Amino acid sequence: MPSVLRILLFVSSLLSFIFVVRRLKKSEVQLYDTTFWITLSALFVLLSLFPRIAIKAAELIGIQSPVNMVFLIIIFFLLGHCFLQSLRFSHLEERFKKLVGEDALKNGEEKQEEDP
Amino acid sequence: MKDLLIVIPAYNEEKNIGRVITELKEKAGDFPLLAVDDGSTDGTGELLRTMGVKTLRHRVNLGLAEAVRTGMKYALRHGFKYSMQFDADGQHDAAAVNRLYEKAGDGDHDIVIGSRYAEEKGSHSLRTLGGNLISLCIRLVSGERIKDPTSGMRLYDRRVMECFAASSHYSPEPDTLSYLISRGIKVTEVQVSMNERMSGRSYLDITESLRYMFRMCSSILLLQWIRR
Repeated sequence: MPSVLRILLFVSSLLSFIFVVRRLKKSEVQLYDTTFWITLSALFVLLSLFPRIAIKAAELIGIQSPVNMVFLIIIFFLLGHCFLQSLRFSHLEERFKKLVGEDALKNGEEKQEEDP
Repeated sequence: MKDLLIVIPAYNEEKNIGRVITELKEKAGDFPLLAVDDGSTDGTGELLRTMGVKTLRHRVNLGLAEAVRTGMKYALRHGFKYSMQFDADGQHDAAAVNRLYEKAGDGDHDIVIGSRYAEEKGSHSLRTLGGNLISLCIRLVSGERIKDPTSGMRLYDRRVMECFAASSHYSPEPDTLSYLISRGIKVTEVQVSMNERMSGRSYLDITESLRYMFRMCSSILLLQWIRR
């Protein structure tokens, strides 16, 4: 791999790692939500430092190009993450709707008690 | 007290709802009314208050399905045997309320639809074509023939209301209708007439209609088996 590309990859993965950590410190995201991103960006840093890991792993599994393996794994994790997000979003929406509905019902009851 | 609660879901309907309420009081005065103000930002809430209509208010807009659900929960908790969705835009005919109620009383019906095409033939427009397509899907899945599946004027009994209250999978839409039929819920139709909207724009324009059609048909044909 050309060294310019390697440096570029290293710098960008390091930057994204720092970005994630800083956001976590400012607590804009909940702690457990960041584990996924921290692990992922740390993995990128690791891979840009030691690309041999990817090459060896690809050989071991039997994938010709290490790049394909990296893509495959990343896509797999992203899809999984995306699905889990979608589940969470649905739950949240469901609870939100229930809350607003119950709030309306409760207020209605209180009003009824005020004016008989 | 009558055992039917008329539920009027309303979102920004200040231009229509006054007349709708007046007509209901004139023509269906025996039945208690419940308006569900779905987070309106115009004068709808104020108007309802001055007219003395029992109103529940969603603090944010959640959409028709949730407004109907809130109304049903209220009906369940206050011991009503039936609830009926009655649109606030003036489409529905208040004089038909009693006929739906009577139909529910005679015989084994869980849902009574105020149907535009129960006895009369519909004109050949894009809208009836859409309705027919949904009908066809329901027939394929459940074997039942519903002539006006998209009519919003429906009466529900406790059995159905309990389903709605328990899960947000249920919405006052044709796909839920289809699912309920295949689960043994009895649906019947009563001929009613419907007006065009009195004022304002219907929430279904052409692209919106097509999207709705597609969503309903695919939901009826493909998604219902996933449901509990």
